[in-house]
Parts: sequence; structure tokens; C-alpha cells
Amino acid sequence: MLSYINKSYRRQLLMSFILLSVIPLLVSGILLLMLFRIHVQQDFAEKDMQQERLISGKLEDSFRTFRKVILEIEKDADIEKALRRGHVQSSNVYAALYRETGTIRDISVVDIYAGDKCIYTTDRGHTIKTLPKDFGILARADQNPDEIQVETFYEGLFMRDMTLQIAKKINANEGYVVITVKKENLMKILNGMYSGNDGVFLLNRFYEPLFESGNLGNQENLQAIRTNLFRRQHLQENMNVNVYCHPIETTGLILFYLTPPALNENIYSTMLRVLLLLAVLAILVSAFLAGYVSNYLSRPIRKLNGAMRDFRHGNLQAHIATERDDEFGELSEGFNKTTVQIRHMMEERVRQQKELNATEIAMVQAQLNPHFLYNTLDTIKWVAKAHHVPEIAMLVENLSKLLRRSISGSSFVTLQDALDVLESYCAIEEFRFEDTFSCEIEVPEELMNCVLPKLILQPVVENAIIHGLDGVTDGLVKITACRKGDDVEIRVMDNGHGITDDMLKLLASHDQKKLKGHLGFTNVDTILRLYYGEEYGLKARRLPEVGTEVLLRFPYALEAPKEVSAEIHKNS
Amino acid sequence: MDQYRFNRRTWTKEFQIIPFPVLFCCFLICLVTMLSSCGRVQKFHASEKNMDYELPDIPEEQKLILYTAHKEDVYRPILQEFEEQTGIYVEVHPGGTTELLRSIRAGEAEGEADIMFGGGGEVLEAYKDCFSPYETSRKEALSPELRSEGNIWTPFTVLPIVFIYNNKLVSRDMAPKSWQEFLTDRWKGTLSFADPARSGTSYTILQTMSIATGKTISEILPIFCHTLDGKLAGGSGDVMQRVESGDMLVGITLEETAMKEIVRGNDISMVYPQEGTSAVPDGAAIIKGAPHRANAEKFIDFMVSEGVQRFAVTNLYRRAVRKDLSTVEKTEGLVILPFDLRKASREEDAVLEAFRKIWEE
Repeated sequence: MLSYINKSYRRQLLMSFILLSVIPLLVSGILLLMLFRIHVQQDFAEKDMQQERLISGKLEDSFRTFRKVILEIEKDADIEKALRRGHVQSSNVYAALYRETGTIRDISVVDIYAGDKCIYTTDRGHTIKTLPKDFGILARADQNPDEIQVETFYEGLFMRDMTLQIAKKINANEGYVVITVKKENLMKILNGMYSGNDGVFLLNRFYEPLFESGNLGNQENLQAIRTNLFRRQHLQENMNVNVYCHPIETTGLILFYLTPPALNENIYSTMLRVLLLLAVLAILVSAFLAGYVSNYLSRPIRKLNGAMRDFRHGNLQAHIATERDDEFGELSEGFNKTTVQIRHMMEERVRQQKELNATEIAMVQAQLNPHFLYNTLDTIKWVAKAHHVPEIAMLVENLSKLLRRSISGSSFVTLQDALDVLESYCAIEEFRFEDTFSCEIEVPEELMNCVLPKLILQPVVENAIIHGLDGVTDGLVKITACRKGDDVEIRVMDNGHGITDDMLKLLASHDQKKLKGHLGFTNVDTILRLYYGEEYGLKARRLPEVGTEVLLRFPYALEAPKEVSAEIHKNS
Repeated sequence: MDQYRFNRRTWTKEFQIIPFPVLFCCFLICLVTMLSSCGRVQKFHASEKNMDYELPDIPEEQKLILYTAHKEDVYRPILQEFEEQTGIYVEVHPGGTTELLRSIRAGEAEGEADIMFGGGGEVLEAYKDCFSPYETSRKEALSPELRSEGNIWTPFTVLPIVFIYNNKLVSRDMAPKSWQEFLTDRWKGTLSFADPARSGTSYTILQTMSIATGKTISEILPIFCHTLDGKLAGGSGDVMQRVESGDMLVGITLEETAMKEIVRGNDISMVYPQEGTSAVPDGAAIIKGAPHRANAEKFIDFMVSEGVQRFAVTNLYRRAVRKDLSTVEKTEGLVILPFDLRKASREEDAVLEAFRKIWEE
């Protein structure tokens, strides 16, 4: 995966775009969400706690009032008198009772007990109420006469419900005051202090429910809370509501206030989904942007890449056209300049190579151009003439002609001129060899004007005379020329010994050392090859009957090749 | 990946390769942890902030896990008093007798049940393999004939069986007086009786009838079923309800149930059978493997204490198991017949099966 990404800088670009856009987005989004959630929860929690304190405050207020009333009743003279004398009905006592309980009669029922029988009550109806003496709240009130007892009480016969009893022994003679608070009383006390969506539990010390209210004040939540308490788990374990608890001081009762969670799971998951959607969007936008930007960046790079490849594969004219001014523009310009330089360098090299060849050729040919010989021969000719020796004059004159041709400027001569040179040469050789041979030239008229390198025929003929016709008395050297397509073929034939195979091999080897004596022959071959290419040159063969034939081949041209002639001209 | 050749920049070559995998991995990790932790955050904060007050843990020695077949109006006040007196927190699991006993036997409450409170003596006897014997310290105060052999269970209250009749529809003279009457056509189709397979009380009634009339159950059953005339109440609570509403004229039920209804002002009257009646105790038993055995023992002792027994008499209209609080002799017309609990518990399955067979015809 990583190498895949790294292989293309475009993919790298895409990855970094994506990461750059998505990571900050997600990070900040999630952080925001978390902060938001925390904040909202904290807000709600604060509000809930406030509400809970209000509720518990109200309860505590009510209980304080109850306590006050109890203490007042205890101090009340009339009631005390009644308890001591054991009166059953007395309007004074009732008046006192009603006086003391004025503030709480709407939220409770107040009874005065003598022993286990209730003798005075603020309750309606005539039923005779009793409470067990050795069981329940009266027993404990008896045990702790200075304390006010607060206990829950389950009334099973009529109400079949829990009520709250607050009792105190107010008289040594088994006198008790008992305040009974029913569920509807508690409802009244807490009226309007919480919303229907919340839940309120009032549990006693032993987590028995006294009062349940609200949507969340249901059996399920109650059981869950009790289970958590009994199993010593966290209060809110397995519950998705907030639970606040607050003991109501001095009563042993505990208020549990339940509120629904601050952020509905739906809301939260919706927000997360939106965030993810944004992330996906960011990825898409990044992809698009990355594509666009990388295109913008990669076009010049691709162009450069392509032009370089082109150049490498031989197209020396590769050129990048660009109007950009930035680094890519510079790069392209640089590339163009570099290729031009390379091109020039290569052309220069080719030129130098050709120059080298030409120089070699000139050097080779210079071996055939001794100036002083020419001048000396001229002198000899005049001396000969002065001493009336015409043979010497003829020899020297021909030799002169020869030499003149060889040191003349151009390295290319017409065939006509070359043949003239050859005639001079033959004249000399015929005299030397006392006419043991003769020279014939058969060249068609139309070929006379074609050009060929100078002094290439003479060495061949020389070869034929010296080696081929050695010892032959009526030798013949025949020179013919014909045109074969674009080439000219010149044949130098002799009817002498015929060239040996060894010699043929030696010639073919082009070995300079071994060919010492036959330098002329190889030189001609070299010249032809240098000028015209490898496929041209000298070829020798033994004629089937008698003698040797040497074949010169070169392309037909009416003008010498240009650059070479100009350069040679400079050098010579 | 030879992208850079400058020596001093070889670190960038490495830098080139590292960020992408590293970044990507970091990115993924961040994403995953954040998304998953978001769920936890809510819980975390909810638990932190909301504790205005730390409730103290309930120490293990102060717990009691109680299974009860009693109705709320019976167990609630008793448990409350127990809690107040001893400071022990009671986790109560109410339910039907058979249902609870079956789950105890099946070991469903493995190590999480201390005591079974409620259920007739014969039933507790039948399930004695689930219980661990305990001899209460107040044993001597109990009436001897009510004690269980081997102390498998301890009696709580005594429940005589009585006849009830609807005041409006049945006059005093016409009221049922003897068991024998129910083996005649007199109350055919007008007797409220619960299915013995569902109500332990009904089974006890059948046994009592057999003892009172001197006939065997197999003799009684066909005739009795004939009397019932195809009408069977769903449970013991239903028995009362049918008589109250006037659907049935008479019924057979526990004294306690009848007394409560009378006190509540319903138009029911109660009659003690002439031949006499059974007064089978119900009780409590400590479950085998109870995690809070000491507290369970305390409960049993509490249950048979004076205060509770007196409360049961005066407020719950039951009869005490204590000798000193026995009210049987004081009640006119109440004759208690001897009842063999063990025999009854042995015969239960057979009797129920027989009843079912006859009933289906």
C-alpha cells in the first residue's frame, strides 16, 4: 500500500490532500462533539442538581415543620392534661390539637395515642385506630422518648400502601403523637417541583419505596436502583438515566431524583453521522482538488519527461514549448538550451571526425607530393636540353608532369586529367623497360568528365608493370572504364604473371607493416574507402587465362564533395 | 525509491516515506478511539457529576435475601419491622409458592437466596431437600404439635380453614355448617373452590374434608367433583372474589382471608365447620447454601417473637404458633382436627393426578 502510494507523486499528493483535509476536520469535529456533549451534560447536570436541591429542600422544610408541630404538641398544656387524665373526647383538646396542627393538616393526619389506642385524631371518619405497642414505631418511640421517630409503614388492610409515620413519645404515661403522611400528601408537597418526564423516589433507610412519581419513577428503575445498591455497584449501573440522590436529614429518608439523559442517543448519533458525512465530503473534495492541482503540476513534468525520453531515443530536435514563468518554465527553458548545446556538440564532433578523416587523407596523399623533386627535375630537363640529350629531357618532362599533377591544389581531378598523368607515367615506364610493354587506354568520352581522387590510377598501373609484367617481353597494360549504374568502374588489366593468392590475402588484410613494398596499392584503396565509404575501393583478381585485373570502383560524380575539398584546400 | 541523491537531504528521503503511513495510522487510531470513547464519555460524566452524595455500601453481614409466597400486606410490615429492629437490609423476591420452590430446587438462585418465608407446612416438607434445618432459640415457646420434625422449617402462623358465604344471597340458617354438605347436591354448582393443582390451600381443603368426614380421598373426589359441577376458581384469591361478587354462594378458604374481607366491610360471613377443621401452619425455612445464614436465623427468631406473633394475630388476623398467644381455645366453635402433614405431602402428587383425571371426564 505504501509503495503504491509512493510510486506516483500524484498519489502522494492525493493522500496528503486527503489527510490534511480529513484529519483536522474529524479531530476538530469529534473534539467539538465531545466538548459539546460534556458541556451540555454538565449544564443539565447542574440544573438537575439545583432542582434536586429544591425538592430535597422542600421536603426538609416540611419535616422541620412536622418536628416543630410535634414539639409544640408536646408542650401543649391541654393535650398534656388529656393524656394524664385519659380523657377520650374533649372539645378543648381538639381545639388545641387543631390549633397546633393548623399548618400541616393539609399534608398529614395527626393522631394522639394513649398506649396503642388513638384517642384524638385530625382524621375524618370514626374508625378506631390502633397501633401495636411492642411492634413498630410506638415501640421505638418508647425506647427513645427524646427522639422523633420517622418510619415507613405499610398499611395492608385498607390502603394497601406505604405511608410515612413520624412519632414521638410526648408523655411518660404512654402518650404518643403520630403524624401520618400519605402518598397524596407527598404529591401535594412536591407539586410542581419536577416535570412529568423526570422521576422521584423517596426511599427509606432500607431502600424500601415510600413514594414514586413521574415517568421515570417506575418499578423498573426502582428495581435497578435497589439492585445496584444491594450489589454495591455504581448507582447508575445498567441505567441510561441520570440518578441524583440526597438524604433528607434527620429522617433517614433518601430522595432519588431521576432525569432523562441530557443528549438523546439519537441526537448524538445524528451528529456523528453528519460529521462522517462531512469527512466523506472532504475526501471527495480533496480527491477532486488533488486531481486538479496535480494535473496543473504534472503537465509540465510530463512534458519534460516526454521530451527527455524523445531526446534519449534519438530525436535531437526535442523541444518544449512553454509559456510558464515559474520554476517549470525555467526547467523547460533549461532543457531546450541543453538539447541545443548537445546537438551542437554532436554536430561538432561529426565535423571533427570528418576533418580528421580528411587530414588523414591529406597526409596520405602528401606522401605522393614531394615539391623539391619537381623543381629538381625541371633543372635536369634544361641541362639535358642544353647537352642535347632528348631522352633525358623526355623522361624528365614526363616526370615533371606527373609531379605537377600530384602537388596541384585539388584532391580530385577529372578522369581526363588522371589519364593524362597516366600517359606521362607510361611514357617513362615504357622507356625504362625498353618497350617490353605497352599501355592502352579505352575510356568512353562521356566518362572523361567524372571526378575521382588524384593519383590513384598511377600506383595501380605501377603495380601491374612492376609485379605483373616482371620479365614479360610483350606486356600489355590495358585501362578501361565503364559506368555501372551510379558507379564508375575502372579496370587495369595486365597480361602478366597474375597476382598470387598470398598477395591477394595480404592486400585484403590491410596490414601496413607487411605491405611495405606495396604501399601505393593500399593507399589507393584507403583513399577510395575514406572518400567514398567502405563499400568502394580496390579489388584485385587474377584473370582466368593470364594476367591480373585490378578493379577500381567509385561513385560517378561531376564535382568533388564540397566540405572535404574546401578543408583540403585550406590545408594544402 | 531513489528520489533524492543529495547527501545532506537523505533525511528528507526518509521523511518522505514516513509521514504517510505514520499519519495514516495515527489518523485511523485517533478516529477509532474517539468514536468509541464518545460512548463512554457520556457514562463517565454522568457518573462523575451527579453524585451529590455518596451512599454508603451495604455491608455483606447486613443483608438478607428473602423469597416469599406471602402477599404484600403480610410480608411488608413484618419485613419493615425486621429491618428497623435489626438494621438488616432485606432484598425481597415475592412470588407464588410453587414457582419459588421450584426455582430454589432447580438451583436457579444459586448462592443468592437465604430464606423461604411462606408456604404451608406440607409443601415445605415436600421440598425439604432444599432446606437446611434450624432450631429456633424460641422453640420452647412454640406449640409442640406445630414443630417440624428435624426442624426443617419453622412455623409462622396457623391458618384454620373455614366456610364463607355471601350474606346477601344466603341467610344464616341456610349457611353451610358441615363438610358432609359438600358431598351432597345441596351446594352443587354454587361452591367456590380453586384448582388444587394451582392452590395449596385447595389441596389442604381436600385432605381436611377426608379427615373430617372419615372417608378416603379417593371416595370423596368423584362426589366432590360432582358438587363442583364443572366450576373451578383460578386461585385462592379468586375463591373469595367469586363469593363476594355473588357468582357463587359459598366457598371454602382460610380464616385469615375471610376475616380480612369482613373487616374491610364486605358482605361475607364466616362459619367454622361442625366436624372440625384443620389448622395447618405455614412457615419459613433456611435455604441450603444461604450466604447470610446468620441473618436468616435472626429472621426466624424474629418471626416467632412475641411482638410479631401478636401483630400477626391483631393486625393480620392469623393465629399465633406460640403457646402463650394461642387463641384457638378462646374461639367459639373452632375445633382443630389433627392433620398429618407428612402423609399429606406424600399423597399430594397422587391426589392431584386423580383429581385431574376425574375432572377431565
